[in-house]
Amino acid sequence: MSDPAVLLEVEDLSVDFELRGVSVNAIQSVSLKVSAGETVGIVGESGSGKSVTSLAIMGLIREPGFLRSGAVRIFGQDMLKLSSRQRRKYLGRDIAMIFQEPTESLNPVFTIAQQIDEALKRHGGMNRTQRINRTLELMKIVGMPGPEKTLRSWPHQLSGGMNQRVMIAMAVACNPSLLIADEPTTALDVTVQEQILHLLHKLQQENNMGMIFITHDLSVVSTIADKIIVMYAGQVVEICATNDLFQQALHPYTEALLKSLPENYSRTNKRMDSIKGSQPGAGETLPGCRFQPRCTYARERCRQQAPALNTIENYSSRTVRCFYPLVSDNDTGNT
Amino acid sequence: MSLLSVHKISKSYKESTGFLGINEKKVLREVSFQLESAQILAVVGESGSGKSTLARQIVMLEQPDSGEIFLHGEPLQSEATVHQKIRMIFQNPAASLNPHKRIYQQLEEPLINCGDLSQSERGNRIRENLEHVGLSADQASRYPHMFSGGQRQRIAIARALILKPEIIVADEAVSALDVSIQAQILNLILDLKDEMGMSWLFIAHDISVVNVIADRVMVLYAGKVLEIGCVKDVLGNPLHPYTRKLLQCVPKMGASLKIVCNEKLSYPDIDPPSMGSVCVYRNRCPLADKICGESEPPMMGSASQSVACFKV
Repeated sequence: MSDPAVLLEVEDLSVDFELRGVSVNAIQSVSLKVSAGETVGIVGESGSGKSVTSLAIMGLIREPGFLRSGAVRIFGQDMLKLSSRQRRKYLGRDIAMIFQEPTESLNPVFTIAQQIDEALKRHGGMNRTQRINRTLELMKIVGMPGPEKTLRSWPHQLSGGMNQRVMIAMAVACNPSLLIADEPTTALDVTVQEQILHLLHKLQQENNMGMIFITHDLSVVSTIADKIIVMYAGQVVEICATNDLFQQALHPYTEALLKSLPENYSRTNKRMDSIKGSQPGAGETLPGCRFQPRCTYARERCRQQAPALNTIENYSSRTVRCFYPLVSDNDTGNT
Repeated sequence: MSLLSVHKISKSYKESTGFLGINEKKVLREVSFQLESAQILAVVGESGSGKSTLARQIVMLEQPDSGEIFLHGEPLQSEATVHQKIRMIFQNPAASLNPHKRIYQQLEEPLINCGDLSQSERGNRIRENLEHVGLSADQASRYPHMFSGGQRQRIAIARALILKPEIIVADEAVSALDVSIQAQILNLILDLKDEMGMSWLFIAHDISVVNVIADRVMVLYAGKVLEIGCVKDVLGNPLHPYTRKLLQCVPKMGASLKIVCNEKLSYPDIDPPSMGSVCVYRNRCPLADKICGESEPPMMGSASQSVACFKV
């Protein structure tokens, strides 16, 4: 591909789910790029298609879900054109994933050592002694207290934070170029969350790893991501650099999301701004913009036409899916 | 006299430690606090700190091993009165509502069990309560799955309100909700407090939520109250090393992780010491020294902020 630094290129990815013979759109033409050493945060409410996007990138969409269109290129190789056997060579080695619920994602009947060893066996080409050393080394990398003892334990004997560190150790075992972390800290306490965020950041810096960080927590994503993608009802509604987003949201949904954060209302005893209504349910189709029923700025055009993702020149080329982005009137780059 | 007064309650669970081994695990250690009317007291702490166990003692789902709980100065005795005066809301509304019953039936059940209202009076009360939480009365004939997550939590709140309780114990009532919906529910809780003078014991792990809605806050660690007081004082000027650590860990909007990332990673011993009268936090505490391992720090300070630590 043109730019060698681009690790992952997702183009026009759409996934549908078939429910009772009707196909329901889960994500619609999602496109994104991740370069080496970059962290891309994906935020959105539950049901906005964050996890479906990550599963589709990993090629893990199963019945009744299916891919309607799109390409996922890793080092220029389209993953979706490969057979699942061929794809498995890449999974775990070049691209790895961490899931939300660590205790549920680990196999309860194998010890930690056996589970970490599996990834190394498949991809590493190491002999037994080398693998044992590498496993121990990984435990130290993720900062596990008492690494030898932990390796002999089963997942139920460890706390949530320790299990999440095991998951991270498994994911980084083969030094992947790209790591997808799907809500890696949501189930954890703030003190543990802080440790895990630092750990991920440290590993990323050391290996120049690209990372996709999926979360619903805007304050977490603001600390770790370079670029943020905001999703709503299966569509990308805004893409921009992290700092820009917190200075000024251009999409009305992003603005509403930022306004409903409790951080802004500390000890004021004021009522918070919330977004009225709820996300369109699966299978509900609207003629116009998907956010329009909840949008306070909605006009006639929004009810009839669906907006496309547009680049706004004057605003450091930020991308927004809105006819009337929240820019000052005189410098609309949008036509 | 306080509305609810909890006096030195302790609770242990028995834990199996392999073959024939049984270990007593202390979950609450002499927890004391007061809750006044029209007040929101937040309980914060990590998982395993005893927050939910405390809630279960207060609604009398369990009996504490020692200590007493007073409501209006009277010890809690009969479950029937407790169930009318203190109601509970759980974390996940999808799991706490019965999927097979219509909303109307679920709201009517406590009225049948704990009251002597006629059928039409019950109907009126249900309509009134649904409207109070921002739902329309004609939605009462629906089933839980026909509502969104935020609406289901409103239903759970309506069910808790229906007996006109004095205290609502909310165990992580907004943790499972998206921020936009969380804001709606927090507004509703504040409205209910102002309009109906209701008191809340609000269990949460999200400090920013506590900052918005609570009047007072209590910090639990390993079943022990480490700091308690007004939100303004405790979260504005934390005294206990643990409270400080907890506040430090809350991600700040827009603050880059990269700056603080040079700090050495440390993974302290997570397990709190289970034995003896010592400070429960001493293994993780940066300030701990000899005295912390010899005796237990007493609760000291004023009503607006008191703290259990030798080092303040």
